[in-house]
Amino acid sequence: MDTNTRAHLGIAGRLAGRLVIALYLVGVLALMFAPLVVLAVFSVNSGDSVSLPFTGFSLHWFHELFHNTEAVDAIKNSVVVAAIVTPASVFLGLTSAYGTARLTGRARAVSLGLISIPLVVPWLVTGVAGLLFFNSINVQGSLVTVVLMQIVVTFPLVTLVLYARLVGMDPSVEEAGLDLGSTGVGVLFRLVIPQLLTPMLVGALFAFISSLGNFVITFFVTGYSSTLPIWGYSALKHAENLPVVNAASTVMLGLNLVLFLGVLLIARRDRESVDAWL
Amino acid sequence: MLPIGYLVLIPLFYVPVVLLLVKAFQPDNGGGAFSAFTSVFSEGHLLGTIRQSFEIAGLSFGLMLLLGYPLAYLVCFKMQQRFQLPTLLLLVMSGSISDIVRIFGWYSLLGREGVINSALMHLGITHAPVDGLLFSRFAVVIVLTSGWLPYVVIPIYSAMRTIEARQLEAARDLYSSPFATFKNVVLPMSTPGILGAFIIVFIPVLSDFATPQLVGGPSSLMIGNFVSDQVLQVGDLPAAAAAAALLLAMSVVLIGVAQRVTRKFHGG
Repeated sequence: MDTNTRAHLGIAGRLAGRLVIALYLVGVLALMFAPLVVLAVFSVNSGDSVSLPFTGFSLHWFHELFHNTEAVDAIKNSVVVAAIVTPASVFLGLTSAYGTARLTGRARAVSLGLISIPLVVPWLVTGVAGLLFFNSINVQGSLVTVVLMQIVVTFPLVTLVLYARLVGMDPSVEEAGLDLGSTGVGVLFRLVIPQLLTPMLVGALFAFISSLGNFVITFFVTGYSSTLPIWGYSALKHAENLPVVNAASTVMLGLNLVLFLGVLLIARRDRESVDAWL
Repeated sequence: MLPIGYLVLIPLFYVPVVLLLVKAFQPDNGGGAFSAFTSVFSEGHLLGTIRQSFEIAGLSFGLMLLLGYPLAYLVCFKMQQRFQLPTLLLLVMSGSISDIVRIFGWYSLLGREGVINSALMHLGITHAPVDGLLFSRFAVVIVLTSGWLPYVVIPIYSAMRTIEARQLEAARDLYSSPFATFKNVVLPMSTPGILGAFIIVFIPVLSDFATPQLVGGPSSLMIGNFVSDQVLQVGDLPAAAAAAALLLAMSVVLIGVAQRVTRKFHGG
């Protein structure tokens, strides 16, 4: 084989390699994004079924959606639940992170462990346990129980992220505050929170996103009320209102995109706060 | 200041989980402490369901590693720094969409009149719609992989990011071939990421019930389906508690094994 052929083979090989990588990327991205793109595309299709051929652009299904009280209630409930779970998780996350960071030695490790366990227990177990618990104290499932159980699985993650940030902070600032006569709570509000604003905001965005998407825990403790995933589940199970489910899913998709755009904007200014979630 | 979070975790997490265990071991109709367990194993075909759950979760996680590892590698080593975070956020965005929403997207893609079948027929590759795209084990694995893949990519990427450029340079300077560098540097250093992904992804996938329920066939029911059926249709709470307790025990074992292996890789 002369050098010329060898060079050609080298180029051909590299091209083939590139082609394989390109095909792989297209496949992997399609696996993750095709179902989402299809949802959005078919939500503006005028046809009666969610299938090809595409019969023309129309906002008909969104119109239907906003006249479907069950769907509108489900979307409202999802947003209301997320709007309560989010500040509660940030508050509990902040205080738990601060409280844990001030512990030392074994107590700190135990505290971290107790807060982390709900993150690794399967949500199915947590959901069923919640259901049994509320049954045993004669509490009917409702949006209230949904909020409570979602907080249980959301705030520990916020805690861990804020905790990691707190232990990375310079302790001398806090000590100075205490030496100058400030109380623990004073130090928290005047010195710690101002430094944690961005991580708290990112935590809030992720808590909101996680609450909107929660299905497993909500499913067991929701009683007769429904959030969007719960309503969508029963509609899919009974194959009813499919184009309306499609439009509702697109609304949720849009909401998620907006929230992530928020995270992305923050990441451009303070990458570390966002990195902690990855 | 004590962590206030305990005021939430103790009554709403620890007490309920203990209650679940108590319920699972409660003697029923004069039976022993394991009566709920013996009855779920004798009546519910639970053993077969557990085996199926592990097969589905194993296949899905294997596929996620196969697809996710190269993606993490490409993002970490072949992509410009400033595009990496937006790319990862985009992946997390797709993963954070509710399972139900994603499943609906897959209905439109894989259904009898879905996008894939219409495309196949339009191109003349098949004349009738291909059955078994939906409502099959194939569909369950594809849908699970589609939703959890981002959470496999992220921990592997984070582990790869700890590899420093000079470690790779050192390998190259010592005339290590690209393959040897991968085998001796990149793979061992990213293994903790793989184990992290295992804990984050395998256990929730193992306990999923919405996906097998909505896109699975009769041979793809999982433990989660057994539990949710016992709760909502049969109303047998001790059986549900016993199956959930089993799932909890399996998770504890899996996490323990993963942590032990991780520690080995950190040379501890």
